[in-house]
Amino acid sequence: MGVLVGLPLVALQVGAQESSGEETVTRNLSDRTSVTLLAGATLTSPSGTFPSLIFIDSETPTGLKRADLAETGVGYLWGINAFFPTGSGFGIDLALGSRNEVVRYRESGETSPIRMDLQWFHFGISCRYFLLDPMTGDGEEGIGSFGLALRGGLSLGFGPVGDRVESTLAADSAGSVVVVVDGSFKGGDPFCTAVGFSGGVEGVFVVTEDIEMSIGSSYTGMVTPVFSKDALPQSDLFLSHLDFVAGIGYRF
Amino acid sequence: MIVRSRFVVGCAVMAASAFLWGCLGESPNPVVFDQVIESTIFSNQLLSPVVVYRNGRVLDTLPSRTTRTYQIGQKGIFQHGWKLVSPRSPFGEPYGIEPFVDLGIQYNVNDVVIITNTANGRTLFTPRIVNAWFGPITLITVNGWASDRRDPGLTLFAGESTSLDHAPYYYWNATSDVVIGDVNGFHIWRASRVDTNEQGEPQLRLEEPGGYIGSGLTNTLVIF
Repeated sequence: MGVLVGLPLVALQVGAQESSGEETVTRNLSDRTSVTLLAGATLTSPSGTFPSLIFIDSETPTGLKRADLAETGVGYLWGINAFFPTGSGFGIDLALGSRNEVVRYRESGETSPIRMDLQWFHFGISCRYFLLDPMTGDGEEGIGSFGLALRGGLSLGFGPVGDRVESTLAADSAGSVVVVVDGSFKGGDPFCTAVGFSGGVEGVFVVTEDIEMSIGSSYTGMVTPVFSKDALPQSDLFLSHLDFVAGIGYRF
Repeated sequence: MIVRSRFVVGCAVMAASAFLWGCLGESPNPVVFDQVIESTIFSNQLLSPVVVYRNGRVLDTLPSRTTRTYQIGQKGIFQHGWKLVSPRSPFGEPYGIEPFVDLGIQYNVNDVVIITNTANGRTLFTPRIVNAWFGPITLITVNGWASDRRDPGLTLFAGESTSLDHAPYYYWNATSDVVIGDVNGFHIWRASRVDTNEQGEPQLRLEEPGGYIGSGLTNTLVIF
């Protein structure tokens, strides 16, 4: 985040030019509404203790997973992003899609490893500001140029629409035989609606006068715990995400 | 313009297909937290008793408009459900429907279940009928134009009303109606959701007057 905030807020904007007649009509990248299909990877870092669980296959609880056993899990996300310009290089981003998160805790001497996959229906609203805002026009102007934007806003996760937990448990007292168990929370009741704040940077490459390609990265810190206080009053498990996405978009 | 339209349509198709494709495969095995589940409070807002189930076994029969607390005090998987109990004819036939609602596994340490006139995503209703006729009347048909038509044959004697403690329930459809007749079959009364009265209101509507919120009680149909 520090790197992102530290980026020089110098917008290399070239004023929009409009002309009539046979001349080319040009506008800045930030002046055009766009719709982008996005897909990428999400790195999930848990903080706090993972609760002890009981699987129906085994009455042996998994035991609490200490915070220092947390690992980064790699999941994926996809979605649609719509950009609506508001002027002066700014615009509003609306994002809609699906996010598959992987929460992982490694094994220790006392506890077994655990992995929890969560699929959320994701909605985001954020503000985007173009640092590099090239002109694009009805013609070849701007084709091949690059734009650069900063983004920050609110991220919401609903559901989850799917969840799955896997762990390995010792099947004998010596711990020499282990069994893999899996389970799901039926009904999704124990989860909170995921609310977080995100910030990131995005690069845009102008492919044609209407088509663009983009790559971006963003960090999201969740302000709500994974599990609701009604279901797990003592839970302190929070997640944060680092996303890397690529997309193809159409400008209107 | 054509390119733009195709792109938007393409986005919608890809989003829909990706959402379906991207669904996480859940395990058939339930998992719960390793903690003591303390209690479940059931609050029955209906005008009929319900049978409360825990892990597939009958836990209690909860009378209409009653709230009770059921202690658990154990770790483990506790799955609750409830089933509507319809009043029955002298031959044992239920006058109304008896849907079962699976509440799933309880994760809250102390859970509150409020039973209202919704079962498995469908709204329920119970017609409020007052017999001001000089003889007995019969609730002949409910939802006569729907696939879940019922022919209850529930008789109300002169001066009698439908029960507020053990009333029959039916699914509330777009075309819900009730047909009532006198025992001789000479007089037929019909009240429908579709048709309106002199005030322009549907003849049959969910009113749930004060104190009966969530009960599925209709407006009062006075038969005279």
